[in-house]
Amino acid sequence: MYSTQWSMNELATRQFLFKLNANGAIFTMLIILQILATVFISGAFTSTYTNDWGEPISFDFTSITNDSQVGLTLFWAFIVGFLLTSAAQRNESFSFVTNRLTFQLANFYFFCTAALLGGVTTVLLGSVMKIVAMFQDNMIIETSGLLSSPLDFFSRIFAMTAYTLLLMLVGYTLGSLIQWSKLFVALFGVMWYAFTQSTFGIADNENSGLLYFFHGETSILLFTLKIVGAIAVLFAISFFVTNRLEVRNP
Amino acid sequence: MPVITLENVTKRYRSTTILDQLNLEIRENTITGLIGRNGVGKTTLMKMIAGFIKESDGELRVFGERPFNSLSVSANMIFVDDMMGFPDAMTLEDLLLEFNRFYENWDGELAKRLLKYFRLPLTLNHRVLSKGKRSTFNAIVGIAARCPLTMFDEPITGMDAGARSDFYRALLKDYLAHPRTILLSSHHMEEMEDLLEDILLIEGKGIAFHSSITELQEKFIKFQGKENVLKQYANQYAVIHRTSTGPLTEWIVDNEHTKAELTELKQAGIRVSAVSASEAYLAMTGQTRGGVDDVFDTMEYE
Repeated sequence: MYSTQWSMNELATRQFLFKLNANGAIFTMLIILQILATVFISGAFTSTYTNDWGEPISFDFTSITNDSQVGLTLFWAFIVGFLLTSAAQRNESFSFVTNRLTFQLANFYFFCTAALLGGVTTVLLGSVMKIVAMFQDNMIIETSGLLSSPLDFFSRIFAMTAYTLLLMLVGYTLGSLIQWSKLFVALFGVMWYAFTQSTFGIADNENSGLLYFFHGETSILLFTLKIVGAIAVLFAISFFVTNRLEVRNP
Repeated sequence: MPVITLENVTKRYRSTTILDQLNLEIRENTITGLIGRNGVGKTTLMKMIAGFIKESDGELRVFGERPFNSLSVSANMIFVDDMMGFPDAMTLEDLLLEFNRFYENWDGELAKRLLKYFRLPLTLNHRVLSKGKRSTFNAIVGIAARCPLTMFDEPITGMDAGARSDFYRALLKDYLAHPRTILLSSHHMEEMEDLLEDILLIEGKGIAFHSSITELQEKFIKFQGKENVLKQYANQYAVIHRTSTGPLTEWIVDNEHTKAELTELKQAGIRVSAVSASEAYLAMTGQTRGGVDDVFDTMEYE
């Protein structure tokens, strides 16, 4: 009676390729944000202080970071996650062959690709910052690079990718829940307030809290486990919502 | 074997019941017209069959499977309506490539030739198309996908008369060459009459009629004559619909009469004729007795 039979994975891959074609603007947005961060904001994170040990030696210590690029990339990740839960995105996917699981899987593949791109480019922008620093006079650069400590370099890429992916899934999960019921907007508002108050409000809790759970981890294996665990939980929550969504429903 | 079966299927949105206890079978390789007034649940029924929305109760099977979240139903079905979403960044040509990626029976050559015929440049973006052109594109996609189950929900919205008749003709030609099960909903019954085999009429949360189009026509008969003559001779029939245009009054009545009665009517100067499918449809769905005329008539008397 009917001929076409797809496997789950085959269709998820095809949906993923379709999403890549359809959402090129998301990657353009990343590049623009990173250029903005590099050109306009990075100066704000560069601090110089003079350490005067008296004549004849004095050093200016300048710390240069790519925090601004990291921050904007994470912000971008959150927005991308949120964006993919929109009704328009759903309608686009359901104009072609899909079910809710392949839709969710394709989104996840898309996040992995985007996170990898975000992670790699952000870490490489650190190198751009070093080149910029070199143009200044008499600069002695003390840093770990690809050649001096390759393991460090790759673990930075890994960590950045992991954080980007995590933020995307956070955005995606929040977005899905809001699609399900608008009441979650209020709940998330309260949660955000509580989170910022407990995390940034108190000065002496640098070694506790939700953020420390991830960034305080020194073992890369445990860090990976924590990230994978968090992503799995978020994936499950968002799929719980996605799996019952009715589409093309005004 | 039927392609679609419904057993006591009900759809509710919160406390509102849209469709109540539907029982239905759609045979393979037929063109069924899905008709009914605005808001009776035609689109809801189609979306349930497409697996876009979930039935609240009952058993719904498409190709023997429950369509909600079924990959094989999705892969063998296309649902065309004006809500079809396409990414802003993609041109029509890109979209055709995507359809080729997803639909096994996709005929890209046919799609391109139809687009050319309807003057839709491949370089354009779906978003910038006019309403009629957008409907045309969606309809072409629906034809070229050659899915075993093809559903069109108001496909002709915004199309001009030429495009409408071309669409119906293209659909019929491709259907004859590649038979498939087609569900088509539209309010323009008179335009698609020649195309349809079966009629599925939805009214009052349920199915009011589901059979072949000729059977729908045979349910009624039309009397034309002077109003006083009609009132004198034809008052015993159940009048479904009355209209008066000019000197003649037209009654559509249930087709239940004897030959002798018919002769008598003819002798009285009443013209008896068969109804077209669209007249039968209007008679069945229009509120009986005068329809909207009644609203104005009562106002004048007050």
